[in-house]
Amino acid sequence: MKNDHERAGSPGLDRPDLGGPDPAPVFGMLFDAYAAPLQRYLARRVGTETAHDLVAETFLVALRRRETYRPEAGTARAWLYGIATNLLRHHVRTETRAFKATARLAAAGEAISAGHDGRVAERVDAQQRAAQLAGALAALSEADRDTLLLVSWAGLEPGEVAEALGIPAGTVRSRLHRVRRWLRANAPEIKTESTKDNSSGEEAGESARR
Amino acid sequence: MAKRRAKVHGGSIRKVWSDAELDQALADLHPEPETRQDELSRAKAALLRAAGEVDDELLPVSGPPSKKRPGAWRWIAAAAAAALIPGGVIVATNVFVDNDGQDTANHATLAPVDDVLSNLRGADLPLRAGQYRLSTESTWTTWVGKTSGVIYQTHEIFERWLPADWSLPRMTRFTRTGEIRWIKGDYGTAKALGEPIPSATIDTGWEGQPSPPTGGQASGARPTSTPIAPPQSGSTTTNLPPEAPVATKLTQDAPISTQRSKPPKTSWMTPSRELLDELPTDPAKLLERLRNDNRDGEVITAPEMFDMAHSVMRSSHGYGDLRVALCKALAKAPGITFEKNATTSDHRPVISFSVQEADRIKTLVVDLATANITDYRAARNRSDPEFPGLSLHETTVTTQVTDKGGP
Repeated sequence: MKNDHERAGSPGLDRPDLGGPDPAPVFGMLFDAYAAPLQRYLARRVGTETAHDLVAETFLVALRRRETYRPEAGTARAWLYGIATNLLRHHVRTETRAFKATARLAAAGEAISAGHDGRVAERVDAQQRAAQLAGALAALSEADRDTLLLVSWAGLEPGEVAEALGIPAGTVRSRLHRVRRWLRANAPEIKTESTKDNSSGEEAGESARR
Repeated sequence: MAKRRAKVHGGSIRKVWSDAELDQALADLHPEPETRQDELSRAKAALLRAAGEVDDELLPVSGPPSKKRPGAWRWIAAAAAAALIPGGVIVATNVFVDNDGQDTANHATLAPVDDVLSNLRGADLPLRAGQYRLSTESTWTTWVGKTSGVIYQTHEIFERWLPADWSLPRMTRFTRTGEIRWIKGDYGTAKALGEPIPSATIDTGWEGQPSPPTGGQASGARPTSTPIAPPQSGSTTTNLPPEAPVATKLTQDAPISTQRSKPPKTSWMTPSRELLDELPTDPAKLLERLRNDNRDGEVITAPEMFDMAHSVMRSSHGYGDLRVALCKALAKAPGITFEKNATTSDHRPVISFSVQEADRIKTLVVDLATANITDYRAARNRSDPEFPGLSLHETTVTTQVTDKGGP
């Protein structure tokens, strides 16, 4: 999957010193390095327009709280995504509403796919699968959704997600494993079959909801 | 790709995705959007502007995140912007991105502000005895019909005949031209839904200290209203207004204001000759005055400073040094965004100042060659839940010399 991860050109930007008397240069470089991927990540979660506001707000909050940044505790990128994640809390309802709206397309997509040629049907299948996933994502807890999407959409490593969310790396890994397993089982559509199918897969019973 | 199925209940089964299928679904959901470089430039300019202020208390305080706007209104903002361009006003597109689409914020804020402002000149049109500077402000104001839902813009022209001698009163004329640009709906819709459609009007009046001269108008003359052409059904030029987003100055006691909040108690909002003579032309001292010159002792906010400076700039013909100093003070004022790399639609270099209010962003554009205001405008915030980015008003300012003291 495509990683929306753009490394800063300067290694010093990984863990910069933000405590200098003139924060403008270093924040300018941080913005150049991380604003665009952060904007794309946020846009996927809450839409383009809100993402623009959130990017600006994230960096302004970071600037105001620059004294709290500890390079030894994590990368600047993780810190920024952590701030953005906190700001996203105010948009949870927006995001879940959008996911649910997308999920409703699943049924429509099913109807559309019938009778189309292979290429179109393939595209419709992909859309439908994404819509099914959206419905499942809407059911996740905020913490689970943040963890999954910081990895899948923002391209953060689990260690960085841990830094961003302020939780142990082991927790991130176990959470990821659990959420992905739940999604794999619960995102796909349920179909009614007249014949019994004895093939057993993963149990769908474990909910990622908290 | 491994495909497995899980029995749910009865005859229903659920397919179980593989890891690859899940990753693909994640990739397909909300595909990666385009990055808006102009938006990033704007955000970066704001960030670096804030970073340039060493006092943390002056940094912008993050408000509650905005609600997601209904996309249905985006076209309205776009239509409004498009409709404004043919009017010959300052190009309404993003002044934070230059013609090549490069991120000008890089040099805009990291480079010393003084580099640009050193080129700012406060030139004034010379006046001979008995001549006047005629300041003309051409405004397109956006209205939203409360009952009909129509959106349109009205055209107003505000003229002021400014004598060299500030002791003389200044004649003014406010004209609602009757021209309308329909953004959503049309005259027929508005009429059918009971939206009041006002007539075009002309109001003349006076501003300044003493009573107006004898002659055409009596002392303290009330504005006169003259209906012009009635709106034609089906035409594109009709008029009306629900609630003025901008109050245009018609009388001495009604200073121009694009701010809905209570203006600060300061003489800056009704500048007199005494004030203009007394204000320092040292930018640092002027900034101090801007920040503290409030009779009730309350802290002056960035939007208030913006309005105060706007008010004085607008009435300081003949005070070029003061206008230059005001620009330099504004460029360093906390909470006000300075942009140096802007041009007008006719490619004149300008600088601009913007300030964010609770529901809108206001911009003031200043000619680099004269330090005169060329344009000012306001638009709803991009995070506005109802009308994101919708232009509230857009004004072009021109000045010329005339031998007449009025129309």
